[in-house]
Amino acid sequence: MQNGMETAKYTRGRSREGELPKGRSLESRNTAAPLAAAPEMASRRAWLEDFRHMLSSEAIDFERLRTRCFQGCPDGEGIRATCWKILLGYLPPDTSSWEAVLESKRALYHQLVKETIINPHEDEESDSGEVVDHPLNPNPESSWNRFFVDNQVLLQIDHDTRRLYPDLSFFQQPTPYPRASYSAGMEALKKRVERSSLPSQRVGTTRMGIINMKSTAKYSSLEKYYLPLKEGEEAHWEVVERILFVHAKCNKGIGYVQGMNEVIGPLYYVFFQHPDVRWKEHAEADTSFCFSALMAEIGDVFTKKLDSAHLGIGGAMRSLMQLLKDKDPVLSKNFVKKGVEPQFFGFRWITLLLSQEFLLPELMRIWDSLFADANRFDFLLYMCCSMIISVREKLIAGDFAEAVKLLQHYPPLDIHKLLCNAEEIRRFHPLKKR
Amino acid sequence: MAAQGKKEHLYKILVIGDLGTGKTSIIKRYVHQFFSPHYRATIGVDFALKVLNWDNSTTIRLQLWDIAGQERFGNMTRVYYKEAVGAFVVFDVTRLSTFEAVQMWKADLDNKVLLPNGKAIPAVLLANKCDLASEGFLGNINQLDDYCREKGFHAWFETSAKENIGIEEAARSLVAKILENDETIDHPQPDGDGIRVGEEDGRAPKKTKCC
Repeated sequence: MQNGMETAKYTRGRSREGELPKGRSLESRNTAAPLAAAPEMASRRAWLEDFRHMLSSEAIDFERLRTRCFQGCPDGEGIRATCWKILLGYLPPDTSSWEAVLESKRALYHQLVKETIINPHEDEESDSGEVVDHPLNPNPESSWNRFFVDNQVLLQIDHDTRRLYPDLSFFQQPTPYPRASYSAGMEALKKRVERSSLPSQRVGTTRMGIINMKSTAKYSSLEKYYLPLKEGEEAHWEVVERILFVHAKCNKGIGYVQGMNEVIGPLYYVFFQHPDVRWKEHAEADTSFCFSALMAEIGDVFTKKLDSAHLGIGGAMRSLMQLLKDKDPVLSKNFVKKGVEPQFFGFRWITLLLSQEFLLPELMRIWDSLFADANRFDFLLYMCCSMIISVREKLIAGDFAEAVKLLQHYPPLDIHKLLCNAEEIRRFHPLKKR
Repeated sequence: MAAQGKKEHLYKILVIGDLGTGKTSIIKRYVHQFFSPHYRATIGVDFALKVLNWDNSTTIRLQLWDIAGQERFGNMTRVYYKEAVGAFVVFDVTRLSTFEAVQMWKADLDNKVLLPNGKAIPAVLLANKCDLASEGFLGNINQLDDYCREKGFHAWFETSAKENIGIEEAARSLVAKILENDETIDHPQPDGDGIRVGEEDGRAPKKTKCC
């Protein structure tokens, strides 16, 4: 497996039983499936060489790259990061333009950071020195008011990014490229939330008349569980926090939705692994644009207004259940009988592109295929269907609680088999144009 | 299988409240006797089981439904609440806004799920993270008692998932109330044969299984 090295590092002894339904139509048909078996050692070199060659050509053959990525990207040399950037449309196939493109995008991101993480104090005084804005300004357009509204959003983002990928130390570690080092006067967002949340709570009175709250309440017990960062240092989760905050500010319609942190985490992680220091250093800006590109495609499932619509999460869950019904009517009936609803598991699977269901190395391999899917993100639904069917015996044997628990805590199965089965479902039960 | 004459109940209990109030931590503490500050945000719903040996003749299986706190998931709650017989509504004592949201959560609950007799399902209010509370926040206990009466909460408890405070007591209180409801609600008997049989497929949230 191409992920062998990293998988071993992260799975920490989790067993990888390859469970497949027996006697069902899922056993691998030895046709020339586009998802060929992962290259073995002998062909590994050729496989790596092929990617190197594709990525170094002046004009990348996009279709070819897509086909190859669908079967999995190599881990090393920043190849995956580069491929994802191309697949998500951030980098054009014309490699000679990359430098210029990256430079302008990265500059644009820095500009966005400057504009969105505003300090309202800057507008406080007019040229004549007269105070025109103040914290109690009732004007909803006032920058102080904006500051307070923003902090509500920031508080949510802060809460969720602090607990991003808890089993991975990466996000708690300091980045070698803290924002403060090249933007003088940049204030850490986490500090802004700490400062703004508590004092403002004392102001409100409840209907119970509890007003004597003291300001001594501790903000959060979380901080002390992590190694404290030195002054001026910034953890990787704070970088993610900033990207999400900028995104929420630039996309007010959708704002911040829980789960976006889980989608952005793997992108940033992969981009930061790039061996080229300049790509590493700008992982933040690159992640921001790729995340936006991704949101442009999957944003509908994050949108509450579209929940029951065809394009929203409701439509996606219906498609998944229809797929299951076509592929495995017995299991589908069993779900109905037990009362197993897609909202209990599929909601999270689909919204987060499976990011909470697999360990990061396995997830990266799955995302290679998802991003390389010509009908993005139909393959996600085939994959979900494959996941359900791969544990069908246990699902049928178990009661409601066992079934839901199994789906919510998906066992570590062989990723390659899951992908192959998903591919087979696609070939024999293609989704109707959604 | 339960011993002769032993009653087994299966109850679905919801845990709701604003995001970051500690719903997942409370459940993990209650079910696994464990605390970590590192739980990921709950997306959609998560679900845990706890078996209680209530007394010599009663076993209770609790299905605890950990419901995502962000408002975005509001459309999903109807299907998540279905057939629940009890609820914990959680707020974070260090964040007043989460307390203000309590009545919104309670209203949402009463609006979307009812007991078979048409009454609201019993709900217990949890003032969580009490280990972090500044003195005075819960200073006036009578007022919180009044609040609970007015809003239709069965009881309230100060809890800390971190320090393991109040959670067992709160659960006992809620379960006792559910049991009491269970005994007073007249269950329709299937086909008049007078014996309630747990549904074969173990279809979730059922009120009582008598063996």
